Amino acid sequence: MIASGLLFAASAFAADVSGIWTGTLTDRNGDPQEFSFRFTQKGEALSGKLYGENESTAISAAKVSGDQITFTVTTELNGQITTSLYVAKVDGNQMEVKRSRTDPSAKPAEPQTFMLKRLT
Amino acid sequence: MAAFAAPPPEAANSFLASYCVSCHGAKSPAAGLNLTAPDLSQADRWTRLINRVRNSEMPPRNAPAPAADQREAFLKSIEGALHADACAAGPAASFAPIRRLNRDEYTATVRELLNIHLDVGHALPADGAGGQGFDNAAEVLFLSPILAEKYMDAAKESLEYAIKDSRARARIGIVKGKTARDILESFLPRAFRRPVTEKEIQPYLTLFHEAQKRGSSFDASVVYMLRGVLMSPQFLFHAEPPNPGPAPRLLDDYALASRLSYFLWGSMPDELLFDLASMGKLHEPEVLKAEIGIMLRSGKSRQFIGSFVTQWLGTRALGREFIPDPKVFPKYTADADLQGDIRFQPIVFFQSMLTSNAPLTDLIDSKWTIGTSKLADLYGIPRSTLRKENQTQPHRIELAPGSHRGGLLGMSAVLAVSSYPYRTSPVLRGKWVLDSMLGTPPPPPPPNVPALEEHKEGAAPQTLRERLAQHRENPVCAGCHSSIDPLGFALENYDALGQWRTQDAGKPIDNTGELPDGTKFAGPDELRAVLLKKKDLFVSNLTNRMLGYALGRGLTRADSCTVDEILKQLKSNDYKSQTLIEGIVMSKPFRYQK
Repeated sequence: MIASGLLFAASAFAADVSGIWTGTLTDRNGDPQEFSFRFTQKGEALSGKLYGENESTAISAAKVSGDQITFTVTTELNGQITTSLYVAKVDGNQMEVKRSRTDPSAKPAEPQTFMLKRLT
Repeated sequence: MAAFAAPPPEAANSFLASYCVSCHGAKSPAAGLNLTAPDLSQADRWTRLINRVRNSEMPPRNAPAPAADQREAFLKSIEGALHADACAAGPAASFAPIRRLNRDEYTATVRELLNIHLDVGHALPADGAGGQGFDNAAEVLFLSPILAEKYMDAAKESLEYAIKDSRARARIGIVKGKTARDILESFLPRAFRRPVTEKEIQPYLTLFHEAQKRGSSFDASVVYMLRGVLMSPQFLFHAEPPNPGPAPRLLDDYALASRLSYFLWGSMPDELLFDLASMGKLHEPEVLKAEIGIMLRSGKSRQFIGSFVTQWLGTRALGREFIPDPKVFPKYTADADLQGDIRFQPIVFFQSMLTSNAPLTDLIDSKWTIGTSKLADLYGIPRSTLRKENQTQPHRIELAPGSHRGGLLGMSAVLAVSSYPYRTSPVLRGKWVLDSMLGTPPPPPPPNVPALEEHKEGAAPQTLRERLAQHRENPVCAGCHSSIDPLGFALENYDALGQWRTQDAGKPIDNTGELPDGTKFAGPDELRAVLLKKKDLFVSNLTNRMLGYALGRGLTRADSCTVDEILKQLKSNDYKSQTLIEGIVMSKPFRYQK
């Protein structure tokens, strides 16, 4: 009884992030970088894509846990592969996102934080 | 256009009686135009009439001529009446004339569609300007048979390049295991910028099978098939599904996505716009407004800003039709970086103004500008004003008081294209201010007016101002030049490349001017103050131009209601620049179709 009550509480708390989310990250040079994601959520399963200037990139290792979502995005530019981990805390129609590089070649750095707002 | 059947205002009637009815009377009226009982039922006839009066074509040369202020009052009263008539029902939707992708749009669209970095438009002829003065205007974007051949060549060249490139193949959908139909099903909606039907797929599939029957390889057959797609009017033209009903309707989301992307990017919609259209969300005002911000912050907006700004200001001519004289400006000729910095300054300024949502009045005067190390040297601005790193790249700098470099009038590109290659021209600069900034171009000079005499060898040196004063002694010239020249005189401290000077031909610069209404000013800073008092005229002109650019056509009198509406929004929002873009996109002519 208690377990099912907790389960109900957890799922009631879980956000449904399905839709398009956009936001701007100010990079280390002070230049704005636009981010737009499309998420599709089924329970705790999450899929989606990061829109790019030319083409989108699928997100992977994505999951929803309560009000937190995590996923990675792997991009390739001129043969160099970069993987970034995104951890976001959802609060209604916005989420605070922390982005950090996870590939071994990346220099250790503080995660970059930015806000995403729900567009649809 | 609404009928304009009301009689003209009293002031206009007395003008018509004094200067027009002797020829356009009831008995055998010239050109069949009877102005004794003016009840012309079509506004466009009035428009033609006032244009001829404005250009001093009417009354004709041998007839009594009205004084300049009488002419002005007549034009104002008729225009006011026409405007009130056209706007009785508020801003209206309009027809969107079909127009070809212009050279730049075609190049950008093919680049994104195929993911190739190739200037495929290099062999296409440059497009002329039409509508509000831009090369994306429907009035000039037709397709002649010779041009169609050029597009066929461009399609062939781009596809033959793409088929050899792995990234382009992936973008087109040429992946192992995919059939020609699979390729078309993903490629065709992107090329046509909307979903397609099975009936639309079939003809291109037939092209593929025909090529296969002739023994062509799979790749060659795909190229043949896609050449057909790139020659389709659905690809080559801005084609929107027609409105079947009599009432104006909201554009469908795909057509809206295309209007938006060709306005703000000069290219096809991206995946996000397509997704918003497929979800049926793009037309929702909050989504649309958010999308405008996203698009303006994208690097792709540089295409729109560059295209709009250089055509509006005329600075596109710099380095092309207009080249400063190498003998007078050897430093400019020898320095390609300086040339680029000069050319890009107004573009980067406009972009910076938009992204920071600065007021449009910054274009008249500002406490900041765009600087580089080369521009700082040219303008005599201390290098300490520049940022510490990357000083060769254009960036925003704050101006010290008395720098004389605020707004457009402090920029070399503007000051150069409103000069002759070897010397300044107060006439050209005055005309530039009246036309480009205020949207009130002076009428063309009457025929047989002698050109300004250049300095003769052996004669006593005269300043340009003295020579222009002689020119104005001719009463035929004086009427217009009394409005034009003073504006240019105030800019005489800038030489033909925009460098600051205090002397001309060995004499001190006289930078004073007085307009016919008695407004006096001295030097560029006081001229800026005068122009700031006319900011509504400036902003109205800018709105007119940008609305015409966004709609890809010349504006009609009915559009003036939309301009009024946007101007109202701008005034109540401190002339913030993003309000202009938002006002245009949210306007009826942009979002609706007739």
